[in-house]
Amino acid sequence: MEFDNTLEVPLPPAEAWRVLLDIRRIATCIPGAELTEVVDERTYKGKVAVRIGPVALSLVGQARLEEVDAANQRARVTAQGSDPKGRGSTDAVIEFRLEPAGAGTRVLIHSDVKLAGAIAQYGRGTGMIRSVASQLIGQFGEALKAQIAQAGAGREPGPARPISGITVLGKAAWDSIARSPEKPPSKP
Amino acid sequence: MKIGVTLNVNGRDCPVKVEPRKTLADTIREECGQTGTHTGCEHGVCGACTVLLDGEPVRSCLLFAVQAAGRRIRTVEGLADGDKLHPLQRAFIEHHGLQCGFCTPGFLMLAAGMLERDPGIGDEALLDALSSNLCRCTGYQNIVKAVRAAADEMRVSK
Amino acid sequence: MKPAPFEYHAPRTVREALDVLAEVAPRDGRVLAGGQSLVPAMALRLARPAHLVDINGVKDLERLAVAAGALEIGACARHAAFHRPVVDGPLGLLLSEVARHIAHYPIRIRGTFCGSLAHADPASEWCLVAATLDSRVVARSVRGARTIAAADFFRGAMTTALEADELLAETRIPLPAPDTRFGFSEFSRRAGDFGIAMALATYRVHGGVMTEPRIGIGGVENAPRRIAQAEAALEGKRPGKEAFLAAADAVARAVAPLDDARCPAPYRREVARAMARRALERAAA
Repeated sequence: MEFDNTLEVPLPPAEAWRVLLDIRRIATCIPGAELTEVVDERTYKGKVAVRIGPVALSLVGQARLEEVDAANQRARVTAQGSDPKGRGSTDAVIEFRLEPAGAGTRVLIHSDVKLAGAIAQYGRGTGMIRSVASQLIGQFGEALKAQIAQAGAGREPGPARPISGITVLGKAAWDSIARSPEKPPSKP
Repeated sequence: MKIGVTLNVNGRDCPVKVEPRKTLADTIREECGQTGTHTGCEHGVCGACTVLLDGEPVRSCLLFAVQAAGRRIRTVEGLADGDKLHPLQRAFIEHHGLQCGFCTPGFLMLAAGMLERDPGIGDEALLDALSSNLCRCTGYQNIVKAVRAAADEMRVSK
Repeated sequence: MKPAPFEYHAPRTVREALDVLAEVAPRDGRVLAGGQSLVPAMALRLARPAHLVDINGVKDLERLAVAAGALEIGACARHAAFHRPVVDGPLGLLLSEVARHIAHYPIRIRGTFCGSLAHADPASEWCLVAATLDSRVVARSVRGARTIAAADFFRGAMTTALEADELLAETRIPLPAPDTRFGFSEFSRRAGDFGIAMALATYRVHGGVMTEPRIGIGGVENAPRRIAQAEAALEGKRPGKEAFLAAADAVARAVAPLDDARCPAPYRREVARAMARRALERAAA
């Protein structure tokens, strides 16, 4: 299935471009994500924890920056992940491009996601899965914005805590998590 | 880790020791030896596993055996009165309400639950109730006829 | 497939249930009420909770009563309880009408109203009712109780404001005025299928025109919601074809329908339009 999302990043395009290509940093913004291996400067292995209601999935796999066009500020990422419990897999091609939006940047994301196996059936078709993916991107955007704001205030971003439940975290909610490092990680 | 529980199936107590994840359907079949209840889809869609729980039709594949302690469970084996067939069983035979018979116990228990509560059930309500279960063989028409015939008989004799 | 192993807990009181939930929720523990949505997911091994807290034995959760101008529905009240009106007036009739559309009879015998809200499937009829009638949900945990308005409760597909250790103990639906008219319409290809689109409409009539209109749409987007633009098209108008078509148009324009191979967005949009119109027509009948 294909779908489009936009993200607003409160940084001018040149800086936004750098941030978005900093995979280690991006990983800290993806809910429930963990980088496990840097294969080379373009290829990363890791896992993402995703939850839809009672279904908690771990997708283990690899993401690769296929095409990086710094001049036009567009990039293509391919990702493959599979559920270690054998409930399915995903194959995605994500293209993003940046355009200036006022003082900041608008990131236009075009995703082409293929799902296979049980997880493909669960959402009664692609409609729900697509909206879950959009929720994930929205959450990523909020986390990125919060992180940029923190970095602006001179604080280093920490690792993303695996979050159970896909909710669009407002900045306040994110802050409350950032302020309480003792909070036990929720099960992804 | 297994839990001990006593199930009451067709009036008889059946003490079992099962893991919590063992469904009522599997327990009735494997531990209580009543294999009349069938497991079709095992995820609550087909209704082949339908039994009566305190008189109401439920999907026994969606209940864990440990949940059914102290409840009255009635399966297809409990429909006939000794050698005397239940009106539904006779009607299914007379009206060819079955071919392979796999969905039949589920339909019988579903219908028994509906009719024993209200044999005067209207056509639309009956059709709606029977749409709960799936049949691959008959095309449903004879099932509906059979249940309607049994309802008519049960209404008269009530 | 058979469900994966889990530890089973069967509390007898609300307090016990909350204590157990607090203990097991961080270790992937979930509440088991009707089980008509959870157990299928477990049977397919899509869901593998390590602990199940079976609340079916907690008598206090079976509560179904009217208090302070609202119908209070406890966590263990089954869909089937609503087949016959549980309260006098339009709400009882409305719930009875909607209940008939939920899945199939045997599922309604076990499934619960509150469980449906906690599960938050986009095509849940009770979620639409809760959202349209501005219901409130009482979430309880060892940390106390909090009340959440329906508008804040549904966050997306299968996603609610509930924390992992919270039990959705009760839903409160404010009793509508006795002269409230209502209509409900749902479309699915086969009886018992998840609805492609559904609408719940209520309004009162004063001086020959509609007041306090509510129109909620479910099954069309990630979560049910009231459609303000459609309600604006009804407010102060005479109940009838003109206003109803305008409201249905507003619904069609306002929704961002879920899209998939079996039901593409444009088709779903049209079904949403039709459901809104039919719900209004039924309210007027």
